Amino acid sequence: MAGALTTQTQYETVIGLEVHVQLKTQTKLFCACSTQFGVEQNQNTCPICLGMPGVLPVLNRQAVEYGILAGLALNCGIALITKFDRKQYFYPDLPKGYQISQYDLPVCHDGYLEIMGQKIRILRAHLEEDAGKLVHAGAAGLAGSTHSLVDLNRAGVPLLEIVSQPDMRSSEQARLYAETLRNIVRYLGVCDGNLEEGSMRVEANVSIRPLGSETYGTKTELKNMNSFRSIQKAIDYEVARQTELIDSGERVIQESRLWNEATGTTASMRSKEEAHDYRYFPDPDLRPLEISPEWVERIRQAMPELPLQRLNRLQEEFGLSEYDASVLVELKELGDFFDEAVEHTSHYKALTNWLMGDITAYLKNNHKNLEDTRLTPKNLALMVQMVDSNQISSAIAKKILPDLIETGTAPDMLVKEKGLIQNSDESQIQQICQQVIVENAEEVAAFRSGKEKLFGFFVGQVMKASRGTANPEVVNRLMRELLKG
Amino acid sequence: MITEETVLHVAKLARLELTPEETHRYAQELSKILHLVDELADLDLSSSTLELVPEHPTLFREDKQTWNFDRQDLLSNTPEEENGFFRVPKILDEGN
Repeated sequence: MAGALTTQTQYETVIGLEVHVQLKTQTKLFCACSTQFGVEQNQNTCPICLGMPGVLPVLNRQAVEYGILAGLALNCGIALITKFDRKQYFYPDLPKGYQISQYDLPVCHDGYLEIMGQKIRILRAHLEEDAGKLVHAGAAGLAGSTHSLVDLNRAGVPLLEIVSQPDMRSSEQARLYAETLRNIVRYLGVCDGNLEEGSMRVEANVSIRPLGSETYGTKTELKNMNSFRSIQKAIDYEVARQTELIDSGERVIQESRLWNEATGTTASMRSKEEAHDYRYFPDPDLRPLEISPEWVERIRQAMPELPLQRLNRLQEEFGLSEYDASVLVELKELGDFFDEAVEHTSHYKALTNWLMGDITAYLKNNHKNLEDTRLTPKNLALMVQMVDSNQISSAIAKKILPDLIETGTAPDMLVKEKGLIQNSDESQIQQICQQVIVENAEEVAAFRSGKEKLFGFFVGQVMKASRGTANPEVVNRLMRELLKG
Repeated sequence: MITEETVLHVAKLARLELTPEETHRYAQELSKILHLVDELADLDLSSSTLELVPEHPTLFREDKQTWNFDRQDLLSNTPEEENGFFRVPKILDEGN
């Protein structure tokens, strides 16, 4: 039998990520301007961040401390001596004509994160200042615009750029790495980690190579991914594009490519190699920075709980499943809320179910965050207790939940106000049951002739007639007895 | 040794336009300057370390907003302003 003429080459994907996280300082990296978001254009500027002649940058201690904190959480070594360098290029969002960054002595080096059971090495994390923002006038984008408007509020805001080694082998692993990193910086309180608003920005270096090959293929740099999902989608698209190029005998060009969320494709930014000649040199306006081991140790001592630690603690201390624990860890507010609520109840599983189920659904439907509501950990814990002690049924709990979330009224008050206290009075419940049986003679006959699935219908009718207050256990028992006939 | 090619490259990065005469002259002048600096290489530094050691403690700023400038003042030096923005001419694509 003749074999196929072409053999499909198997490729391996190679991914490295460069992640910029905006540090949550009050002021900029080198001047005392506010970093507040959403103020009028150029409100947060001064002669230093506007690059006026003769001004001197002075380093923000908090930014360095946040950088060290993040570095420690990423298992990095912290430099004993670090310095700042000028990275030079021309663009209207960069008033000085150079960006103050770190070249050969970054504040953090050689860390790692474990993703899908594999160590992803982190080459370095360095401090640098952000650039300003451009508004292109006369068109939707740069192309076709007649002129541009410059807002320098963001210029000089501190960033930590975290550079991984090309250790990731799938788009899923890259997404997980980015999500893990986001969770860590959020737990540390050094960054909001919001991709959509740009407080965290992820660029992916992507290449492919024949499986088993030791050398790297030509990489492209992907930008403009505004969500974790689009990081994965952009890499998938790019891998398919590169595979097609190589399979058809063409070659991949090293370039930056912009992800387009609407079309689901990447497009070349057509930048020339020459643009990458940044001519770094040490910034003579800033002294080299000595970081004492004592300072690093103080920061290490004060490190808050990290996501991985919380994941383990929730399982060990409260017996949660790994899945439940991971949901509570993923959204820091949810985990914080849980940690406060367990002060008031020991029904951990019920608490988790409410948080992950009805409450999350309610927030999603109403486009709210937990912290925007008046739901308190104590009130939720009390409600869980009331269900457990049969004061209310879980149906009633569900009924009062929106008020619990919106008004902040204690659950026992809500139940009283609405007359929803659980009724376990057998004679009253029996009366309702009998009424339901009388009103639904056809269904009763069907049930008695073997259609047992109808049982739920009868219970439902009783619950409805009692406005949800009848104790479901009592209803179940009495109804079964009565239906036996 | 600085070649005319290097001069043109640096000039391009600095957005400077040079005539052939200027290119030629700067290549020579910059070479001379570099040659002068090269003399430092003749110094005997075998007994000194080249490690980067700050002579003074680092000067830090605490993370407090200590000023608020008047935006109109800051914008007063710009040739063109529009609605609180610095207005700049049409930006060409990188590489153009």
